[in-house]
Amino acid sequence: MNNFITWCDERTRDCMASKARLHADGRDDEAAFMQIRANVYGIFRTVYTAVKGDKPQLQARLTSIPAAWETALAQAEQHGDAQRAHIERIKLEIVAAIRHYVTNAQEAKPHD
Amino acid sequence: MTESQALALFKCLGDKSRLQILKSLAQEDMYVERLAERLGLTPPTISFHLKKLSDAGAVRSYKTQYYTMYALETAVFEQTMLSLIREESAEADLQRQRDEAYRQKVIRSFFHYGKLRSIPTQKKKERIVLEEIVRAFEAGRDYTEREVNIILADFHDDFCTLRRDLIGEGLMTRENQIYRRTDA
Repeated sequence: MNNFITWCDERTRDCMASKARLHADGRDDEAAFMQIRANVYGIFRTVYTAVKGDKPQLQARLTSIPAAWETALAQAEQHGDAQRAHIERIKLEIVAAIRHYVTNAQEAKPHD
Repeated sequence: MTESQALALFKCLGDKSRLQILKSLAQEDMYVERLAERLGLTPPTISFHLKKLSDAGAVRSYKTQYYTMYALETAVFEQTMLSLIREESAEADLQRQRDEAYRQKVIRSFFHYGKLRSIPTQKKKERIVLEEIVRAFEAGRDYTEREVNIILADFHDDFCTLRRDLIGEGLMTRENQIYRRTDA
């Protein structure tokens, strides 16, 4: 878990590099999606710092924060707002990746 | 196509992925997964772009037995750029009002109780002044040069310049010493 910040920074850097590449290629919407992904990594990096690296607290936030995004996704789908739904799915997809990383890091702890 | 529709379409087309989707659909109708495979994008991303294209009126969808197929809305792309530019703008009324307000301002500045204070040096203002003066002539009636001079002299002493400029601006014609208003 000590590497969480580094991991988030690496993902953010990758997203920003992709964003720049997509933007240069004239794919502005996909570039914006990359910025959204980077923002989600940024949010949980900040949360990790705020909870001083406490894993249970971080995991609790990994459930509470995306709850609003899940609601937004459900509402967007209900109203046929494909664009909003796509954005919410992207955010939740990144949350799933972070959750996966955190879970694996937790399991790896006894071996640290 | 209205101005706002054209604006939405142009905004929508300003994206390489969407342009690639349209190029693919120009070849044949396709479904989301086929487009995704062809363009190296994920199906949700393709769906996102197709929604935007559909909202802009660039593509339409229809259901077949197994898939929702997407097709190019060819009628939209058969329009010329010129026809889109010539489309009446929602701003047009506002522009006309501004033009009329400017026109009235110029007339107020240069006319005093029906007399021309001076002949404007600015071409645009002179045109407005001449358009106002030419109203003194009856449409479809022939005038001799003397008659023209008398009418123009009521506006300004330099009736020769006015007469010449009315011809130059195409507001009157002169043929065999006979003058006639052209904007009848």
